[in-house]
Amino acid sequence: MVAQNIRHEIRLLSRNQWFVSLTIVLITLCLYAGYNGQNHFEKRQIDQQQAISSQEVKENEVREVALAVNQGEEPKNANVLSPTNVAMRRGSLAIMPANEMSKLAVGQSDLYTHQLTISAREDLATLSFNELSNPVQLLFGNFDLTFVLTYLIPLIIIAFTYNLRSQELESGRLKLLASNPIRTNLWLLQRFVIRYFSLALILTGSLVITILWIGIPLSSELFTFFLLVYAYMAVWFSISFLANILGKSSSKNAVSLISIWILLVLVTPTVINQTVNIAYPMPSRVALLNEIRETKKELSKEQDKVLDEYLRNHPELIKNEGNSSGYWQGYFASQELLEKTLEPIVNRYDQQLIKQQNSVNSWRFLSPAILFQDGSTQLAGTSSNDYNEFKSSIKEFSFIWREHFIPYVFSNKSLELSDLQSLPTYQFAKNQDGLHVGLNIISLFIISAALIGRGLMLEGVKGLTRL
Amino acid sequence: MILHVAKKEMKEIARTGQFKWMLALVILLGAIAIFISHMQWQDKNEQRQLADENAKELWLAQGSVNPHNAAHYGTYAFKPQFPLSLIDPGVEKFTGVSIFLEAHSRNEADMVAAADQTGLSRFGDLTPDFILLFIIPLMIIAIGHNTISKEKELGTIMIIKTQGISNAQFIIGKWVGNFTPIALITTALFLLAALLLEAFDWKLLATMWLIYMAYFAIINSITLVVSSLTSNSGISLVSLLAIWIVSCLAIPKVASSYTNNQYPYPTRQEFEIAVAEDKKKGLDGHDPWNEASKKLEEETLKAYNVNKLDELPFNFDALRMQKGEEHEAAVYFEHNEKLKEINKKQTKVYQSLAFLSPFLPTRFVSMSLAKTDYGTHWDFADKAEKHRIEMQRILNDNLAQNSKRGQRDYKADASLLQQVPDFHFELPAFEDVVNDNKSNLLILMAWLFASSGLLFFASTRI
Repeated sequence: MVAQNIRHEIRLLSRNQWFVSLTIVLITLCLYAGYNGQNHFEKRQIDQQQAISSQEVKENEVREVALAVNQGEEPKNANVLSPTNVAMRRGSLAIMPANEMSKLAVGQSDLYTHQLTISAREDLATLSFNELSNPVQLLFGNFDLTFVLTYLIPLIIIAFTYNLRSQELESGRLKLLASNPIRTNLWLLQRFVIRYFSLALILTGSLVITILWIGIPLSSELFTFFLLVYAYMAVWFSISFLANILGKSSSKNAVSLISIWILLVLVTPTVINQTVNIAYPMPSRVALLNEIRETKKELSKEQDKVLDEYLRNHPELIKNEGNSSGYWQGYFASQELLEKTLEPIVNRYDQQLIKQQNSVNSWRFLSPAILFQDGSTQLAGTSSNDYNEFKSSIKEFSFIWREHFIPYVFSNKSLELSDLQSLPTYQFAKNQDGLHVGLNIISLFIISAALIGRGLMLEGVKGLTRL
Repeated sequence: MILHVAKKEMKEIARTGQFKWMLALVILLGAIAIFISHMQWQDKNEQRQLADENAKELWLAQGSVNPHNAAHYGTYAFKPQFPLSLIDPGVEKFTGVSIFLEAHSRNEADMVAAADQTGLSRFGDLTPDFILLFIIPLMIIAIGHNTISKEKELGTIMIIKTQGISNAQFIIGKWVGNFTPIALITTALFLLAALLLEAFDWKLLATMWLIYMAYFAIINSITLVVSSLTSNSGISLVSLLAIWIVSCLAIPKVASSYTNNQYPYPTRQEFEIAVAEDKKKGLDGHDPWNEASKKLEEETLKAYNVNKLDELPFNFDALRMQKGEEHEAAVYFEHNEKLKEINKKQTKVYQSLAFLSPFLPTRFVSMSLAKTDYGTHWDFADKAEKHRIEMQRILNDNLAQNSKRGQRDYKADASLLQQVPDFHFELPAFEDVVNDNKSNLLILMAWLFASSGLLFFASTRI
């Protein structure tokens, strides 16, 4: 029966205009979305290149002076080698490089910046990670591949399958079929599986063409992305399968499937988002501003005391009397103290965000759309997690950066050529959590299997198979 | 006749299970959205007021202080929360709410709420505007998609026609029948919001209500057009949903991606570097040796006809500081104008794309009425900048008049801090909002006419 069914279904599909138009629609959507992702990626690359070159200008200027000093000259602008100038004006550039996979999902990358100049002048509280962008654009979001796959593919699946059983029922053919010694739900499942593979084939084709065009190299992430797409498709096919078995007419199937789509793709994510925000509310950011100012003021009032206290804790910095009580020494000391005082306050926000993220992580199984979007942005390196990692590593680096200059500041020693070569540099290391995406894929498949199993179990249940 | 059809339609709608479910869902979601938004609105309002007062206290607590130190210490301008943001929070979540006002630099608004949320927030928020813009249109489609196709499928249309009703009467009756429950729900949601709102402008709320009614009327007409042109309810539903997705989800995203490709903003890093470069080219208030400072020195000496700076009747250091401040303000102004130019071009693209979807003009007018649009944010940033410049002028004037050149220990009387006025953000008048949105309103009207025109055309094809 399987072979016959497959032959029949393929013949049906090949005669159907649907198939051709679907292919055209999918290819167009994927190409356009891919083009947008590609543009986004390129802009990010160019921006980064620009940031790197303007940083290089600053670094070269300092290096040239150091070279001159090294050769025994006494350049007029030798003060650029002072530790405060290098730590603050030259600074160091921290970059979150774009991953080629980010062409698949813009994610949070339009909200945050990817290049920051780290300077000893900044502190935890004043570091801003927001990118300059038109907020209307952030509100509307981007037309990227993840949008096409998360929102549009389920609808295409619904349109492609909503009447597979009900049509037979309405035309009376189901009775003929049931007169054969087969299980009708199994027959239906075979039809679904065939359609699943045909759509998977078209979609794979469209995605492969798009990926070749926009140029994403082969990687395990790309492979995982395809698995994720198949898993997400499987869920929607199985939802439609169950709806077909439970539904009594094509139009009712269509309405209920659309309602499920609205519920899972539109409503559930917003409700979870809202619930999480209420459960773990962010403390007032505006109140934080004043808290920071008050702390700063307190510290600056007692700058001298702060410095004494600091030197008592760091006796190794007392090189000679007289220069250890200058303005910059006091500044660096109080800056470090400020960071320490502010850390618990600023951490409150990060902690709360982590709690929100954890709770989203546990609620994500309620909607396949969340599982998919979460998985694809993780693979693309544009998820909230990636940016949280970027933020916290930047914070760590800015501590290291300041720390590095403290011995120079306290010994009032200018940097030399060799010192410039040993300056700390920032490297973004992505902490790939393969397990997380893997879990999303497995859960999507499990949900599909459960729905299909339920459908098969309904075979012969009274009141359902009104033939 | 029209009334009869409408009445029958409403009775039938009320009987269907679909409608009951949808109604329950919309009312539940709508009420939750309004209550939650109200709660958060009040919270935020309190926080902002408190922060505003705190900032003022901290500013005054400096007491007797050197004016330029006070200028560096700075203070904050907070964007007030407007009552109608309860209904449409617009882009608020993506723009900051406070701006730090200090000497020498114009700061960007900070404290972006979206950065304090997980990636899930990009799916949208459960706020009243979400219900109004996305869910109610779906409800219209759900209850209206088969209103005419069903009559055709069942053959009842023939019977109705024998009653001597014209096609136009029939379709208007259907339109009214479908629209009435939606109008009632919308009005109820607006009334509920009005009960919770404090000190709001009726004109704005009523206009917002009208805008949404127009939006729903357009969708209702389109729904009936599709329902009368298709003979199968399933096809009608699928086509309407496709229209919904294209107009409410796809076109806004296409518009956003397209504008960003065409007219991208510089990155924050680029912007800051460009500003710093231009600042360097002019007068630096802290640097008496730079070329521009020297020039100013010569000019001032000439103007006052004296030979030495100390002979001037005021502190030249403070004048230089003020001139430096003016130069910096001009640099910021110029660069922000450039951003605004880009924004203008972006807005034009959005406006021209508004012809493609009634969602866009509705979205923009609604935000504008709620004062949660990008324009209001620019306005806030500009006014804060104006306030900052005025603040610097007052402080530098005091320094010029009362201190001597090189005198580092000068401290102004504490009353100086009180001379700096509080920051007030005056709202644009209702007429200005309407004026700014002329093009959006026109497009919405065009949609309204076009969809009614289509409806009459469809009535000839039943």
